[in-house]
Amino acid sequence: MRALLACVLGALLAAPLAAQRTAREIVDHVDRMLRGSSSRGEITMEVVTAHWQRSMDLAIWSLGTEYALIRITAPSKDAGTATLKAGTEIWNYLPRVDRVIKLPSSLMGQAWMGSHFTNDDLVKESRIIEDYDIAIGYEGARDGVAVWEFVLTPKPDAAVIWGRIEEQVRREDMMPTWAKYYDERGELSRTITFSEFRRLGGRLVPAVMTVVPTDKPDERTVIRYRNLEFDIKLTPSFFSLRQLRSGAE
Amino acid sequence: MPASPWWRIGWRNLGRNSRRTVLTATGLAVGYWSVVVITGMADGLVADMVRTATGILSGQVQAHAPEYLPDRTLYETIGGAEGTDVPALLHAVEAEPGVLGAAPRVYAGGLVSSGATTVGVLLLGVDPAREDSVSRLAAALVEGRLPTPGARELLIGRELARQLDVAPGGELVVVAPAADGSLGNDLFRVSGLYATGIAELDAGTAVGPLAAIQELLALAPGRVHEIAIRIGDPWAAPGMADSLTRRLSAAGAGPIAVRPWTTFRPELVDYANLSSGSMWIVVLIVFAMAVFGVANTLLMTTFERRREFALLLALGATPGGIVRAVLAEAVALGVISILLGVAITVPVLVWWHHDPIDLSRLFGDFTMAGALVRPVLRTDYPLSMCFYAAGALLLTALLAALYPAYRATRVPPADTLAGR
Amino acid sequence: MSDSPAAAVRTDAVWKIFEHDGIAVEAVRGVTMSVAPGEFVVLAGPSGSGKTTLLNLFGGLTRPTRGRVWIAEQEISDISERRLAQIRLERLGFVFQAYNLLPVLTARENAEFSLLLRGTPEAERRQRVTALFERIGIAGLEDRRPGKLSGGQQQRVAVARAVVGEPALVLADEPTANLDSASSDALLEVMVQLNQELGTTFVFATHDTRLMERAKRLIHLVDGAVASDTRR
Repeated sequence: MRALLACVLGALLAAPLAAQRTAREIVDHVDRMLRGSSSRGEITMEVVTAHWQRSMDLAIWSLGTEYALIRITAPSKDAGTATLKAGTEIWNYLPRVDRVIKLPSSLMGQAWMGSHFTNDDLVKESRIIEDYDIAIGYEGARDGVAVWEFVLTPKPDAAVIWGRIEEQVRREDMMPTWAKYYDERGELSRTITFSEFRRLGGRLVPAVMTVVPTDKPDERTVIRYRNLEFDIKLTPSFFSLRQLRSGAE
Repeated sequence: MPASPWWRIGWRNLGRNSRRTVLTATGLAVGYWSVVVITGMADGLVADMVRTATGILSGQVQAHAPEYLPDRTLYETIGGAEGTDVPALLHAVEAEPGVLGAAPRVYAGGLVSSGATTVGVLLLGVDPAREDSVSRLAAALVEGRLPTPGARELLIGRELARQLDVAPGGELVVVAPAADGSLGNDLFRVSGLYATGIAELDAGTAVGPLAAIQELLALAPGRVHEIAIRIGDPWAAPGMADSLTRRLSAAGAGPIAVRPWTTFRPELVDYANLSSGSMWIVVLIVFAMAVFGVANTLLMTTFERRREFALLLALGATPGGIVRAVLAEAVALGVISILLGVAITVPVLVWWHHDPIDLSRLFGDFTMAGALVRPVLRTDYPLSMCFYAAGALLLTALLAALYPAYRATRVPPADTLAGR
Repeated sequence: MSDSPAAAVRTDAVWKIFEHDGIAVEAVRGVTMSVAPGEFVVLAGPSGSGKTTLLNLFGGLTRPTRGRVWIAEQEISDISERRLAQIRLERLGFVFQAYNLLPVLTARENAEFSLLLRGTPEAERRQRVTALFERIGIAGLEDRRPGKLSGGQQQRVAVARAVVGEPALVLADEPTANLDSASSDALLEVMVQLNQELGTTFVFATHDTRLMERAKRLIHLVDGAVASDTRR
């Protein structure tokens, strides 16, 4: 009798925990989707502002959450400019002056290469599930598509720049459709929409990500993955300052 | 004799004990003197502080594109994306009477890096030759020299140099998002170091020649963000801003916003207001003390004249008439005191304005905000306080007379006239 | 009580009791009397007989403890200070023993003081004072301050001030007390003359025998009550 009661109680208590784990798992899955244990890709980044618009081709390598290297390959004026993340350090290589400079962590929130992405977006320091509490804000159909909508709230001691993130994920294929980023005052700061879900490197991924800053709705940055490989053979030694500069050749 | 005898009685009563009148009036006049002279000194100090604070970098008046402030966007240059004829604009500004100097500037957020250390800074592009007529950056130079016009050289704060571990002659990578969307980056050489004592300037600003910074930022030579202007009298800045706006609009400089320091350095206005607010406390203290002295004198006077008040009452004067006679005497005393006060105040104001009190023998010279400051107290002319203090003095005399006047109306006529 | 339908001053059983250190002093004890217009009345009696207090009651300078007082048939016993001031201004003239004049005003300014308070136009004030000074023998002293006048001259200015507004009643308390006999006689002559020529009503409180001799009606007061009332 006693054992039975314990089982019922245990099941009741376990139910919300199971749901929470599910939410965490889904968000973590989306977070890691474009990264894998290691990856290599080619990207076109198009930036549109009120004053100019430009397009850059990037090559990108990553290994876990610790290492990343991004190098501009076109246009030729900027080719070779590269950013390296190794552990907690960020380095930039400027081929025009042939110098490597180290960025302090205080600049992680700054725009990367004039785009609407921050340095932090490109070289994610940590996994989302480590910094945020995740709750399901909505579960059901949106425009006839079954989705989850998660609400990500920073953990009390997490060093993150957002006050809140909302993210919509399609139930059917676990593809993210949009993410909304709110500042500390709770005001919407930017929206990322995901589109063109395709198979790249053997995985279904959103091949296009569009960032629109809320205060400048006419501006945007569009990232388009041209190709992507996952779980390739990379070692930490690849992410070196020498490798950072090597694009100059 | 005028229709009401009270004013004449009050006025003539003052002359009956002229020594006491002179003493009381002197007391009030000295009160007036101290209030006005202290205010003049405080105003002089505030003006000096404003001159010092705005003289380091900002200038007393600034001209920008209308949309430049508060966001200080790179693209909002004077004259828009086409820029403007900067020498013509400077010429027009300097044609305004009272303008002592004008200097063009560009601003941008950027990074300076010595390689191992990178710091986010405010990049400031200046015309080194003109900057000297507006700001005291050159005076704040502590090592090396000013950047050479056109050269890729930077003048940086001593604290920034310490963080970057560079010395004059050293090399820095400067990176800044340029106006064309590219990442402006170039090598600059440190020409010199400055120290102003202001943290954001010493640790967060790098100053380069206008042309070199414009090139880094992909800005054409005609594109500047700011014309900083120095004028003589800081309090003339708001009026100067208005007339410059009219002049520059008439000169066809396009949409331009000219602002006085009172707008872009509101904390200095707060300080000035605090200073003048505290002057009112001085006024209150000085005249509150005076009230009792004057009241005492008038109380004695009215006691000595109680038979006259009794007589006036017997003759059919109303208590109101008696009150008026005493108040008239107080007002007459106040007027004499004001005249005396002005007579002893104006010469001192003029003297200490033209020959300021030099405290350097007491304290020595000191440097403040990177500039050598002589501790001299140049008094300003506190015109409005001259009037306010006169008003306060009259009010003091009237307040002091209220109780004696009341006492005068309470004299019992029969007993007093009988000598009882 | 009904000597005349329009008495200059009239009292009905008027009492004045002062408190001095807890002791009640009955200065005036139930005086009922009346003074007709044009009378020249002397209140006589030894010190403490209550003559000055009675005079002050007539002039509204002291309020009665009991009883009533009328000036020109206007009761003044219990009216406001303001109204009383107006009655003094319009109906009464005062001449005191001393301190009669305001030292900061000239003889003319002192004399025309009540006219000024009444709002009499300047031309009329000037004309009246000049005529009066002429009549009482102090012409030419108009612009002197009291300090530059003799005692007799000062009292004449005081008399001029008292009569200049043609009051119903002039009350004079020992007007000659501080004057030598020649000045006293001259002042007395002026007042007799004004009484005869202008019909001004005078009531004196005095123990100056020469003044008593000139009285048309002599009232003796003893211990605050009328002992005798003689008309000549």
